[in-house]
Amino acid sequence: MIRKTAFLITGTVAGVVGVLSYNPPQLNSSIASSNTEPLPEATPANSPSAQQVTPDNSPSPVNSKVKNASKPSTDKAITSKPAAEATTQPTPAASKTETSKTTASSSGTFAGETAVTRWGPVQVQVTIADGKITDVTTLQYPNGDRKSLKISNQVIPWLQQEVLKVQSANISGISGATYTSMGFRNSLASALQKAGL
Amino acid sequence: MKAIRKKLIGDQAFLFTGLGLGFTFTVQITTLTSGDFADLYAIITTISRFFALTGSYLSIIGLLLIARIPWIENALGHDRLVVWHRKAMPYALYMITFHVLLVGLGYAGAEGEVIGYELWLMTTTYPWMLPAAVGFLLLILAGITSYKNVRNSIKYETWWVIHLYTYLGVALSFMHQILTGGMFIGHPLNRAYWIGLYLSVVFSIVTWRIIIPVARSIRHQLVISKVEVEGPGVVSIYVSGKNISKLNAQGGQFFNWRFLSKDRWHESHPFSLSAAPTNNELRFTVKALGDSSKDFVNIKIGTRVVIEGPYGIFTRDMARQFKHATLIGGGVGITPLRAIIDEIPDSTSIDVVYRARNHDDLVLKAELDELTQRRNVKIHYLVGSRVEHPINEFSLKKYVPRFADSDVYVCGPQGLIDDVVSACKSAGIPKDRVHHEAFLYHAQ
Repeated sequence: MIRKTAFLITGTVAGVVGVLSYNPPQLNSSIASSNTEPLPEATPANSPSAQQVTPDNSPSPVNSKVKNASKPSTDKAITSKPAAEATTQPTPAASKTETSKTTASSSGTFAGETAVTRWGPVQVQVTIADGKITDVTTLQYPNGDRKSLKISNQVIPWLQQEVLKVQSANISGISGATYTSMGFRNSLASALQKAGL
Repeated sequence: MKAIRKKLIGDQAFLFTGLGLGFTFTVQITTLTSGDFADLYAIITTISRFFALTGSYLSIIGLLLIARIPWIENALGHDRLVVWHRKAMPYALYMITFHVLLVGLGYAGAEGEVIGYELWLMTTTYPWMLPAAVGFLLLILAGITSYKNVRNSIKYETWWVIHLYTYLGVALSFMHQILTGGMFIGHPLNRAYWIGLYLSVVFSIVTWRIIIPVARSIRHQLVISKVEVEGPGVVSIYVSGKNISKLNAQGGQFFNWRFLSKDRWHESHPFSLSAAPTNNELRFTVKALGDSSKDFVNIKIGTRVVIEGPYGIFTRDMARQFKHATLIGGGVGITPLRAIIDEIPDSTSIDVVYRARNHDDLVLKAELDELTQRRNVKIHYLVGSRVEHPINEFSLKKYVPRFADSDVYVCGPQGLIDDVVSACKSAGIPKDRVHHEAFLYHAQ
């Protein structure tokens, strides 16, 4: 039994060390920038139209929004936008060239639509310079109760920082703040759309 | 050589199990973010994920243990695999339960909900969470019915059917891991590893628990050819078929038997061969222990038989030298030993120590007595309680003068095996000459 345990532990250590030496943990970032796969829940949210993120105050869960969002994704005005976070990015090369076309036109400050979540509204504003996201501010966030405020204070700065790094709405959600993360993403996506980015 | 190769395969199996565990840890380690430690509730959620991953991995290993993968069966022995399955699965279940509770607590805390309501919300709003919840309940049910006290009070068949549903349970819980687990979303490599792990289990179970047994049963066209009453509650059943030697079955091994009659097709029973197989016949001997074995007397000649097996490494091959053989059987545990005798060379002298609670429990006695006439076999019947006939170094040496010099085979209840193993140890018999198989799985 000692022999078997030794093999088991050797294997475990080898597995951990092997993977970590190839792919070290990145505690201070979220998801490696190689992340090209959008979140499944976020997929439809990446191409929202103004109707989806209307600032209505009925506390509907984000999920129902996501379901509605899948319908108008056929809207030509949206899908034809070059750098939209389309669910299927054709090839990295293609998206690059398209971004460079719009670079000149997209500068300024754009506020996203307000996304209503179970815990309150989220609205994101982005500042764009030469097609790059240079600043992110959150105009509205859940702060109705002590707990929401606490979570927002922790999560929002992190999400903002994430946007600057990933340069898209393709950011990972944070467990424990699922709704806020989703709302943030939705609003951000609409802001980026306004910017034509 | 064979023994050394088996040892190597066993070591490899453990090494790979360890590697997989390491990979499973890194699935989480490489995807940790500062947000996972942001506050107490985030930490609780992080811990819950650790339990989810480790518990799932353990349950996958538990399924592989009973997937009848041939080289693992041959290297480690079926009874040990089943014992490990039994030991591992409760921990898998505890961990998965911790996951459910902790993730509920973590999310509830973060979002300011009551834990019960939060669990309800999670189940109803996240993708694939409802199937996962159902799967979890199925696993819990199998866990409860496998708990010793409950297990003993329900029918084997009931237990078996509930156990069958754990496959469904594991399958149902799979999608929520892939679609909502933070360590899989956006991490194609992690996702590929995890999917590969599950697919390997599906492949193993489908291949070795379904396709091969069915193919073998069709190819060998097994039917019941004879039923012989051996004594009160004891019957020997003969199964005939074609080219049975191609099964490579050996005395000491067992099959899972399924009889395709109207009232029995849905249940299968593990029984050891009680005679060395010939090219057209297999024999097993049953004592009325299980729920259905009692009416084997009435089973019809000509009933078609489906087999899984042969399983087990309790065979003649395991012996290193064979100057002398000591076979120790407890109760029905004598049956595989009886089959092993057929395969031990005639030149080897054999002592059989056969312990049973009373005379009626002496299965195959007539046959054994006959053997003593034909070849160099001595049989020592120990009828009575364990206190009357203790098994230890001294008692065994008394019955078997060449005990210290022999290859020892023991089959019976775990208590008997423990006694014999420690007797061999104190008699200085090296471990690789002591072969044992617990009868806990058979004839229950």
